[in-house]
Amino acid sequence: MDDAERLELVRHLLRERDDDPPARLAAVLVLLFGQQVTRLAVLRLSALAVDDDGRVTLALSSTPAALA
Amino acid sequence: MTMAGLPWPCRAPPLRLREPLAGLALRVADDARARTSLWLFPSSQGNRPLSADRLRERLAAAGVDRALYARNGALSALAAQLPPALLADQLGLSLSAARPVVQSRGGGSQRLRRATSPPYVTGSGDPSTRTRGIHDHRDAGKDCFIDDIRTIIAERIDQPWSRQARPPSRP
Repeated sequence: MDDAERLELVRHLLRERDDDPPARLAAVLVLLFGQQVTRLAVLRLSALAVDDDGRVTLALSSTPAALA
Repeated sequence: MTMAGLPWPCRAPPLRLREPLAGLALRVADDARARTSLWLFPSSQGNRPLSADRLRERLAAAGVDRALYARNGALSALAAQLPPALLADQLGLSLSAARPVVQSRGGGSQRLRRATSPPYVTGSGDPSTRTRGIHDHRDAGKDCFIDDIRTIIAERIDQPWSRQARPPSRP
């Protein structure tokens, strides 16, 4: 899957779909940030935060890293 | 792999999500919170996370039926920007696994510059497809290089040229 295909799929998932939000979020995190599905599955709710300036952050690396 | 040896405050930075991704993430979190779950992707059976296999099935239904290929594509794009240590930490690879990936994309420690040293080069390892990004000094010292790289990648989906394989150069 080349960069253009990945970005087109991301755009489709974010702009043109409304079903299964968790699956779409996980898919975008895989497509954009190369996250492992096994790592995403154990993300805690607390990994997502909104700071004082209203910026939404996700602490991906707070999850256990599966070393290859 | 830890980042203990890195001399700058760039250890395990949270990823800043932009719209529309931020809105989607908040919606997912609200739904999970409404179910009193501790997990962002909760299972429908009790307070535990969705299994990786079940999440993979739902990714397939969403159109990402080859998660490994998709992940490799993203990893490859990021590898052109990051030194092996950062890539390993962020993506859950061993350093020995990350190093050849980075080197194959022309990345490496010489590419790592602090956010306070604009402009830096973004894009793939192929010089013909690179674009230039200018860091915003307002956040200098607060954000770090990897966050900016991810932000730029994420922002590409909102650009009219995002469907093109080769984006235009920024001034």
